[in-house]
Amino acid sequence: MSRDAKTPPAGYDVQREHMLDFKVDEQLAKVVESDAKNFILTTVDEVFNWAKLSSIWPVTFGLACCAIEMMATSATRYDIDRFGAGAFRATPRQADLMIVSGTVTGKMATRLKRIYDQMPEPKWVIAMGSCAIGGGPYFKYGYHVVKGVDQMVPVDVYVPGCPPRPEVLLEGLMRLQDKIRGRKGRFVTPKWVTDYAKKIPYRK
Amino acid sequence: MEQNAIYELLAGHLGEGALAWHEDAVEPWAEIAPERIADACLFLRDDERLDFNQLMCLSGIDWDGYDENGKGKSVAILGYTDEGQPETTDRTADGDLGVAYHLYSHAQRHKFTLRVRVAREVAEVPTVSHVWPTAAWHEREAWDLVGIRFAGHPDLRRMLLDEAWEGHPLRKDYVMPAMWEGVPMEGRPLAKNPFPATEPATGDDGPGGPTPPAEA
Repeated sequence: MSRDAKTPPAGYDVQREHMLDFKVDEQLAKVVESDAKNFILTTVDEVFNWAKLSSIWPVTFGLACCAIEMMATSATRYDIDRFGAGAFRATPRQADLMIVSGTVTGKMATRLKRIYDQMPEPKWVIAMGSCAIGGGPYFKYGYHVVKGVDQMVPVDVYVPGCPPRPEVLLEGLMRLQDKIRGRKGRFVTPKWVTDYAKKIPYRK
Repeated sequence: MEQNAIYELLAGHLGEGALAWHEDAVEPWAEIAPERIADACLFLRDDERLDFNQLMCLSGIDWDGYDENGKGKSVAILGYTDEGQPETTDRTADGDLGVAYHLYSHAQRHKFTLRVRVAREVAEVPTVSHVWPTAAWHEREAWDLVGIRFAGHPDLRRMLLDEAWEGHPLRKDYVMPAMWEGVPMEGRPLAKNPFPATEPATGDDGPGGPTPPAEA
């Protein structure tokens, strides 16, 4: 097989031509032509978002059987650390993400709200499993179960299942990474999220 | 020892305190007068022939919806509607409350079951926590969920639910909370089924599936 068709002709600088195509400053192009050829062009937003989505540290917050799947996700076979989200922090002050993995009882909901409030901005929430999404099997007779954790805190990604397999949680994490990748110039939680949080009828 | 013989010993000790012996059950049980239950438990534990050294389980019972013969009358337990709101009813609860004691002897390897029955308005039974210390937590749980007070209990607080909880949820007339301590406990309306049942096929649908349309 011949690779000649894809090989640029001699003397053709791919990087320089690319920059000229996109009308990059001539001064910059000269820098590229010089010896320092190993740098990347990007924006501050993209760099910050890339850093955020590559190291989403979850808070250690396992509630029920979904937590077993969350532990399996962080173990070697599925290895959530491939996505930079394997550092489960023991304190909400160091965490970016709360994976609500399991049944949220009314008693725990007060603690959940407090832990969410203690997490620094920016912060995200994954509702994992039927119970955290909408009460699940406790909808009808669960006198003690909150019917959906989004009545307490704003939820970014819903991961359905009872419980969800580790692949599904990883999929939810990747969708959260997509969401972070699209953020523009926001260094705090968006206004619609804080407005939503104020409407939640938690009084304490 | 056979369970009938155990009951005879117990009835001989209690006299009129032993109300009835229900033999025709999977787990035969003796009904004891509530004020004699601690006496009966001490006898069952300390008699050398019986030697019941373990209280396996202590359970609260709500007989709401049962008639005098112990037959159920199909009481609808209150839950949440499909709209997520608590269900209510005009029916007033009747029927007694009760406690069941399941005993086991590791030395003699025999079991025995006791039950007491109290009126719903009274809802008070003497404690047996001085007989078996494990009864203390079981009785706290029965108080928490069924609302049976245990007279003489050293520390009768709620076991599972929060101290500020109102009511006893496993009673059959319990109305589900809509809000608790600022936490919304009611649900949101259930989504409509996106896949409703299709009309049953008419015509001659054999094992091979529906009949193909006739060619024009």
